[in-house]
Amino acid sequence: MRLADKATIVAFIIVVGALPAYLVLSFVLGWLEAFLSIKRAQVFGIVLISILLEAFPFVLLGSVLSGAIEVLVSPERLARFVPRSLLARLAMAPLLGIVFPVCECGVVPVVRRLIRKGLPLEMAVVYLLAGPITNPIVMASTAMAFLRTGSAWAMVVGRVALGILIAGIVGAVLAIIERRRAGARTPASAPEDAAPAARPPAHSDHGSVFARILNHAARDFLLLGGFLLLGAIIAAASQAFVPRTVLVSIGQRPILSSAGMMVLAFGLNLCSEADAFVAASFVQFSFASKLAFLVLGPMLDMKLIAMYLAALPRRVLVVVILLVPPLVLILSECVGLMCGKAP
Amino acid sequence: MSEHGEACGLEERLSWWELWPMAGWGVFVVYIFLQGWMPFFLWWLYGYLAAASGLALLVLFFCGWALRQRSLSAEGGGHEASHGHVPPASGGRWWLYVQSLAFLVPLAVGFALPVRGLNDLAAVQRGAADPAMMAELASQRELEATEKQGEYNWTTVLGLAQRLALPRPEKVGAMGFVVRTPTTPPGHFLLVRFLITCCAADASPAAVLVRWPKAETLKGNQWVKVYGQTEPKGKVLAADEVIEVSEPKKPYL
Repeated sequence: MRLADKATIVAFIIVVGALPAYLVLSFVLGWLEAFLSIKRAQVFGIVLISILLEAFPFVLLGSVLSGAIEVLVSPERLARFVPRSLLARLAMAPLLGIVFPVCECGVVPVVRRLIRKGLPLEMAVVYLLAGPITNPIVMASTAMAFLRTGSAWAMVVGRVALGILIAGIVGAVLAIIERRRAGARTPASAPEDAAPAARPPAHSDHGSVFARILNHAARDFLLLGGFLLLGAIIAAASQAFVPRTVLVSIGQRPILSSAGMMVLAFGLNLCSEADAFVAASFVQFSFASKLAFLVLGPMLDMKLIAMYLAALPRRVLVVVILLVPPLVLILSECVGLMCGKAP
Repeated sequence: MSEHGEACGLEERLSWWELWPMAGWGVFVVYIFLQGWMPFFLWWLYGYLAAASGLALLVLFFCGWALRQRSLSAEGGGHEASHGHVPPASGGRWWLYVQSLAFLVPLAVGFALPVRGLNDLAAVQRGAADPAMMAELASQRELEATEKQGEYNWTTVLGLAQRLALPRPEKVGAMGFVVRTPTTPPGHFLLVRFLITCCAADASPAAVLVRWPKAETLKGNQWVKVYGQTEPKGKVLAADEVIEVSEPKKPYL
């Protein structure tokens, strides 16, 4: 079949498919409006589009970086920078968030690619979890948000310290699990690699460096953008149907207050550079619960879990989901008790 | 795929299923920006960032398309004929189609959505009717500047809330939209405006209770300009005049 024929067929399918998809979606939205509320549908739509518009530049940046890593960084070159001892690896990984400050959306494609290049899983996961918190911009915005409450420094130090500690614990557990599981260390593969493990290298005369970076970046963007979309839909639905005030009513009760704020962080899907201002506005909640909100948000929320599905092996994702929330809850309450901080 | 196809890296060439989402989303983002609708979704800096990224996506699309055309032309259609369409390494033809078509969802929602800011439902859900939350929000920020308009000090809804915390009454004015809840007293309404940090998902409402005899004639979500005097004791603004206006192009503070 000629190239022009194929292109025509593909374009035809897209055009023909787009219109029915639009009509079906409009019908579904209209049906939802009739049975629920036009206002609720508007909130859903606005929040969905705003999350995507805010996050996709960082996903795009992360995808371009990951494409560059794929083409320019060999596993051997990467291995030279990886410390031998586990403790050194766990200590070095959070510092990457200071050196390469990306938000929690942008870091996912980068970590995915680094794992495929042979970066030890524990280092990759620690960077994934702690990097968005040790980001200097995030630290500055946290300080600004709590400046007038008198607990700015405590909140910044608490957030960074807890973030690093929790990420380190998760990394250590992963290291132990991986060593027991594998014996000899092998590079972990991303979950979508259903293809045979070893891809033969492309001949250099079949694509310039730029072309290869572009191709990898485009595929990463498509993959992670799809998962971001899934998470954004769930997040927008939760914001449209679950009032924040429901969780605010939990109020001052210890443990329950922190758990409530953690559920809020999970559902709101805020950017780590903005969440401090939202947390600071919840006057009824304790210092510990606001700290829990700020530590959990950049590590685990709906859109991040969706994106992690594309980046992390399933067993690693399960460990992260099982370990992070209880660690955040317990350690933030401990910090709250130690500081004796009032809201 | 033949061994030669794998070895020569043919899987590296992007297919149309992989190219069109970049073009579609890039066009959508640039369209929103050129129409001036970004402020309904994002803080202004993130709006420019999104617009720049939309342009970058379009550039990537054209580069990908040009590279694809050049690759096919250089091979004279030979490889295409012998190898056919090559599925990408990310796992299977059907998964690619699902990923690609999923991008239709936000495009359809975005184009179908009436362009306006967050409404009164969102305001109530996010605590506009909670006086304690509003007072804390007001105290977190620096005192909002005012601008003299006749005998009134024109400010924002956040500035109104801050001035209600001051001991002296003051003649002030601000613009916001009307919200009424089941707990709003008769002859009163809430004047609300959202404060945004990054995007509409994190927007928090600033709200002030306004007393006006004709409050019941106002519809929810109606944008109004309110001029009146603060009553610090009752934490209410006694309105002298309420003027209906259309929604501003930048609805968030």
